[in-house]
Amino acid sequence: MVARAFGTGMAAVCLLACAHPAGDTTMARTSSQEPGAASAPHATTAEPTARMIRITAHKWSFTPDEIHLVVGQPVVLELVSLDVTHGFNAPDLGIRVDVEPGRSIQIPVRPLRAGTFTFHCDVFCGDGHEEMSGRIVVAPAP
Amino acid sequence: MAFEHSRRDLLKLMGVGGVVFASGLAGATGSDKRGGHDKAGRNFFFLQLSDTHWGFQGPPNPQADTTLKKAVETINNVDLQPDFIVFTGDLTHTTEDRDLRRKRMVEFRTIVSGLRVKDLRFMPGEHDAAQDAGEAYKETFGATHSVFDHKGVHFVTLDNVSDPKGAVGNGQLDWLAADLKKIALDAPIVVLTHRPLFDLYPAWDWATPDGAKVIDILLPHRNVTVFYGHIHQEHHHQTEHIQHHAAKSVIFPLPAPGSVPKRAPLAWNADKPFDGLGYRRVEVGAASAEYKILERPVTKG
Repeated sequence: MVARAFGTGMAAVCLLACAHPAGDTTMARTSSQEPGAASAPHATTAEPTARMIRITAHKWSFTPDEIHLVVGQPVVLELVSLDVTHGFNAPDLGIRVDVEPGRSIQIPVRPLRAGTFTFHCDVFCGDGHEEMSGRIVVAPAP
Repeated sequence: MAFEHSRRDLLKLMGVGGVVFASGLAGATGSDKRGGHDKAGRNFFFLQLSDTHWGFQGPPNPQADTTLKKAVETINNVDLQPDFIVFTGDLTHTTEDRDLRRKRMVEFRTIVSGLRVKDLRFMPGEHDAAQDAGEAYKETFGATHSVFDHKGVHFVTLDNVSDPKGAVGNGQLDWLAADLKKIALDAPIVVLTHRPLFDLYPAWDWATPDGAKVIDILLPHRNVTVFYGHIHQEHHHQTEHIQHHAAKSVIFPLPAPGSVPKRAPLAWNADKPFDGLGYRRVEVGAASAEYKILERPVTKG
């Protein structure tokens, strides 16, 4: 897996304009895939210059809960849980991973389309679970 | 027909109307398999209560400690009582304290045991079961999925909450398929579950990850209707010939799917207490091809 380059789990993500089977043109996925992730096609090389954005999941929020990206600029979303197993699900982007404590998940993405895309925890984690969500805001390329 | 007269009387009394949904019951003709073939044996109604969240405290319902009790009182004050009552999950509000979880379940069961109707059918929501794989729920209420037959209608309760990800799971899918093999394809089937079996609004987790597999198993059966909860509001949807009806919550309402950024409870309206809350009456007619669904407030005042 390309994830080995990071020494962590690497999840595959099709965010917006790779050859998504549903015609989604939102992001390009740049890593291979691990179980539980989206099943969209993707490239097999990491983006060496990608900016890392760390997202911590904890009862009952994501920090940060709003992520700003720019079309065409690659990033790696690094997901870490500080307590229990959470889920990171952005259905409009084809992303779905478990976020387990003690193990970071890295998701290389390259936005291909501007817009606002919500994500939420989809592993029930207690009181407040329903409000554990955020959004990815993709701005047009400058 | 005493049933129809009673229904009209009740509608007049309550000053509300109902919604009618065709479900093809008239097509049931009978066979050697189990299922609703005795049309004369049908002609009953049941109530659906959902998302009572016993133990919840917070601004969305400043009367949370009495709302369920008021609902029980409201139901008991109606002359015509249902054959049975189903509770489609989230009986209690979640807590990480395992002892408190059990205490809430016992308190809930004690409160609803005050209902005049004694045939009560329970199923869990994720608040009841997701944190301990249904352990406390099973101790208090029994199995998390089951079947029963009532006057010719085959009822199936499905558990899509004991898995924290909300999946039904292969074991239960196999169990469902095996059960339905014994049921005639034209028999009326009612599925009771907590989360929607279709992708109502995945961005809010209003879906069941393997719900499509459940629907695939149900599709050969021509008269299937699903009643569920989870979304704390009335909602009606159809996948092919299968109707899906979500019920209001007894404790707090949630916003319409995608109408606001977060799925947070709607604010309590002091001018209209209990607004948006309710329970449901479902009528199953003898000769009708329809389920009649009547939404009821949790309090009469």
